[in-house]
Amino acid sequence: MPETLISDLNRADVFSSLKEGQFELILGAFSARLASQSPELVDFLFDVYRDVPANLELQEVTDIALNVRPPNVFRKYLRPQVIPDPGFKVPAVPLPKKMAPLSLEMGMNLSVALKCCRFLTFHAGAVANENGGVLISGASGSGKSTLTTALMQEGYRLFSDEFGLLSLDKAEINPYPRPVSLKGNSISVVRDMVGAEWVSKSIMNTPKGEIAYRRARRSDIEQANVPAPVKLILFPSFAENISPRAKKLTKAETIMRLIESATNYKLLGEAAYKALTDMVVGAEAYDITYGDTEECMQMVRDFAGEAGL
Amino acid sequence: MSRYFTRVIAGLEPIPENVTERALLLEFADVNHVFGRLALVAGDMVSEKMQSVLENGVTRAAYDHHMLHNEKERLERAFVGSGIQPILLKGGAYVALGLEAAKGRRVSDLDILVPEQNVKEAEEILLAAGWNFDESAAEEYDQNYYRKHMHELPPFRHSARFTILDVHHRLLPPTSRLNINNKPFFEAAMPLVGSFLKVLSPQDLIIHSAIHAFADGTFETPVRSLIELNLLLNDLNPDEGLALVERIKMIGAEKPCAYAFGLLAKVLDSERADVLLKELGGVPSQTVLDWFVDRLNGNQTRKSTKAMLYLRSHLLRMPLYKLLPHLVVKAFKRIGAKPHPVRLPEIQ
Repeated sequence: MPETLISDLNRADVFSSLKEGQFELILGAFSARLASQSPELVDFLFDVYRDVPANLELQEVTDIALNVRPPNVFRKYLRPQVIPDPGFKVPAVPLPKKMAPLSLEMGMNLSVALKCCRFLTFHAGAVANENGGVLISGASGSGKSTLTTALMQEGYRLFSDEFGLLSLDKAEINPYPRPVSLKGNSISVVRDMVGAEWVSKSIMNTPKGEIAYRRARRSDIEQANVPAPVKLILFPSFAENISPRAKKLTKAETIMRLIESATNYKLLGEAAYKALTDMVVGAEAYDITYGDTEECMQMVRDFAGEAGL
Repeated sequence: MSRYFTRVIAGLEPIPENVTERALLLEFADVNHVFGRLALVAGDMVSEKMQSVLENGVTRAAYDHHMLHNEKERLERAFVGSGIQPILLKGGAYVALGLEAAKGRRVSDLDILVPEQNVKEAEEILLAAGWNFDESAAEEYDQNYYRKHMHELPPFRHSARFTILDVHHRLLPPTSRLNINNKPFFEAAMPLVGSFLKVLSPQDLIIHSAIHAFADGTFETPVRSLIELNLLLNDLNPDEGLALVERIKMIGAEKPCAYAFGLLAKVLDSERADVLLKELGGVPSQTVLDWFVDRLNGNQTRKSTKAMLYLRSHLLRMPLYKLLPHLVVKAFKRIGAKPHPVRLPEIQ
């Protein structure tokens, strides 16, 4: 069956499919069944997810089932709000209805982090070229998403800006090319870098400030089932007005740091340890402190070259 | 629909062919804490995609069981030489015994039973071994309430491993309307092979499971309770089955067991439960039985049913004159309460 992309579909059909909870989104590692009554979400899907394969009627069970819905009957009508409901209890803040896209993204992220354990899951950005992959591990505000976007500009394909998904039987990461989420200052940096037409309009005044999404490219999505061996692991941290510094990390340091950033390391136990050590043995790792994206990228290019990327 | 899904997960009906029904079945199993059980029942009879989704449940159950074995070992270390032989209850016992009911089951905490005269010493042993009272019940009011009215100590949480441990000294609160005889449980408890911990006898496992589901609490995990009871009952050999009714009468657990057997017969067509119900002689109230069936609807439960069962659960636990002041205090505490912190990976 040839794939249908969201941009091939009719807006009204997508909306009624969402209302019936039949909308199936197929994207690399995880598929999702979405339900919602929110027209804002339809707009968002047609903008940011336009090149993603989807079905109006469920064709197969999905990894994720997410309902973006009002938190209660009052909030359906009175200053309407939405929450993501992935079928289990999540500590999600109700958001004004116009922020439904943010609810969708948070709900999908929580589902992946808390529900899916087919992969060892790192809180990390990931990209790859034909020679191998780069894992970018860092806390929020470390510049993970900006670096992920910058590497995309250098010809790497997007795996994810949020999840490094390591196979348990092979030292390979798996693509899940959802949109790259950008916050605050990084939005204008990325708009300048990639062109405004690739970045969604901003959602203002969210609990995390201004938020916008950088769309995955069609080529990223077309190769969403092609994994890559990890060659380079980066631990960036961002600070204003600082000259760039880098430190090569030992295997042991790298493993300890990645355990900290994994969401399901304990859950997967021995399998996780094996997968993690296999990956780290085949990769070089660096801690990077930077204050300017271009300066940082100069170092990253060198490291990538040395790692055979 | 939910009766049908419950029957599917109990292995009585084939997995539906329709994709939407399958998707709803997965959600039903997830909400009702029987995802791992469904994985077992489905096996390789379903699509590869569905198998890989169900695998999540297998992984989680495996982790829980691993955790439980570790916790069991730590308990043994804590109690060795004390002369106290705690009895493992519920999921912990099923896993330790390797029962069918354990397969694919999630176990979030450990429950043990110690004789009432050993409770104080057990508490000291656990505090010395790194367990502390959980934040949720660390306040003086809760501590006093548990000690005065409940059948268990306030919940413990281990300070390094964060696992939860409930220490019971009887199976129901002393104020409970159902006045069961606790002594026989201790007398019939059996040694666990390779451990000095103990487990309840096969019949008592069933009786306790029925008491827990139908005489204590709001029937929180109805589908899981029912499937568990069915599996435990199937495990009994004919002799043990014959002795069960006498045992129930001796303990004084006719009422919860009648509900358990009535529901097993009604939802899972269990002939064995039907026979036991007749022998037991007590016909359960159809209204309450219907509430329980309603409760199988999981997240779609009617609000009124839930409210009735909530009230019922409290009335079963203590008389109204003791209950009302407690509910008032709880309500006020809830208003001023800070939301309980949830451990989460840092994800945007």
